[in-house]
Amino acid sequence: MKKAQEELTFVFGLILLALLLTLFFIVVNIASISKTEQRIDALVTNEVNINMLNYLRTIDKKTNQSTIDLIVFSYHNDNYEDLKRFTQEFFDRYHDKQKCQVMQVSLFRTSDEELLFRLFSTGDLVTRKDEYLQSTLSTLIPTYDQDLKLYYIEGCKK
Amino acid sequence: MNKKAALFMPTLAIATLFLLTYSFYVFIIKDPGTHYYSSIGDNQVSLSNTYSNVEKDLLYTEQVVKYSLNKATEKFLEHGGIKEECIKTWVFNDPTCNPALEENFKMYLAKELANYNKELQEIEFKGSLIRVKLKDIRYHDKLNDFEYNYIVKNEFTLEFPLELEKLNKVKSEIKKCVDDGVKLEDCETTSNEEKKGNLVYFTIENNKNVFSFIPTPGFRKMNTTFTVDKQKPAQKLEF
Repeated sequence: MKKAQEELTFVFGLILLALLLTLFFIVVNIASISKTEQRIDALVTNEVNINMLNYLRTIDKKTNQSTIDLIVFSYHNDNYEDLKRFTQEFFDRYHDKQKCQVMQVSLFRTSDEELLFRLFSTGDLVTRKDEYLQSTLSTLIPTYDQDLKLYYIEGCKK
Repeated sequence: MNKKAALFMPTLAIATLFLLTYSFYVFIIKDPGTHYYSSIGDNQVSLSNTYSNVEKDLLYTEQVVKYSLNKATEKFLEHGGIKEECIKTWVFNDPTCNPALEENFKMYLAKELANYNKELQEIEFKGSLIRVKLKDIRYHDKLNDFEYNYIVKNEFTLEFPLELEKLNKVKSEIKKCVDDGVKLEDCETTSNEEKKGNLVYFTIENNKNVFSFIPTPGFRKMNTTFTVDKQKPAQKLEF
């Protein structure tokens, strides 16, 4: 009888140990969730949107035109040299190569989607895919005959 | 082992099992929303995205207005400040070919803006600037517990590429000559005059740069040339 009682106590002790371990893992799990850093990627995209608008509104000192006007002027004259020079200067000034792998500007004609202009700057960062956020934004640019579509890409560390 | 000690462990185990089961019921079964992921900040993100779209739209529209002003100025100068069908001939007080310069420019601008699907509401000439007002744009979104209306005024004040005051001055000088019965070839104006056959042509230089495709795409200063017809019935009634 006494032996049976001891065995019963031993079994309940094991059950209690299992429950306590379960409780421990739940607590650890909850604690690790609360430590997770929350990020809102949509707001990062908006930041890139502001960068794109800044790029388009910046005045090129050489031609005394804003980038958006320079794009239109280049398109009508079919000569993108000034746009290339200015965009390269913009990349040199603002592209943080430690943080961003790529910055790119592409320009397409909307009527036939032909690529008119593309320039990109590459950084030297090697990062895990989940740490990297590529934001591709586009905007329409009116000209004297048709709209152009500009793609602005920033691939940076989150 | 005494009897109390023997009861303690089973009681504790059963009590712990009961508490965990109850907790599982309360937090997992009864209120599953706390267990799953739910997106946060949808309203804020929607507002933020709308703001970005508004900025892009405003930039687009501002450019449209700028290019429309250029194209309207080019057409206006090309046709002597009056409607195309008047063939550069001013006829004072004529319902069609009257050189109502502001009205005519507004007509050209409205046409150009319509090519970009924009509706002109009003313009105001402010010396070397021009204020152009288009139809307001309304942005609207409705989420689960959040709704907003964001109305953006489409109003731009830009550099006016036309020397309208100069044209108005010449118009007044010519009108005075016509009213006083002075021959047009003897009329002293601030424009260049040239007689071709029976007609006198007035040429005014617009000293502001206008984007033109002729001969090559680029900015250049343009002239406007027109003549004045006194032979039309409307003129005979007046003079």
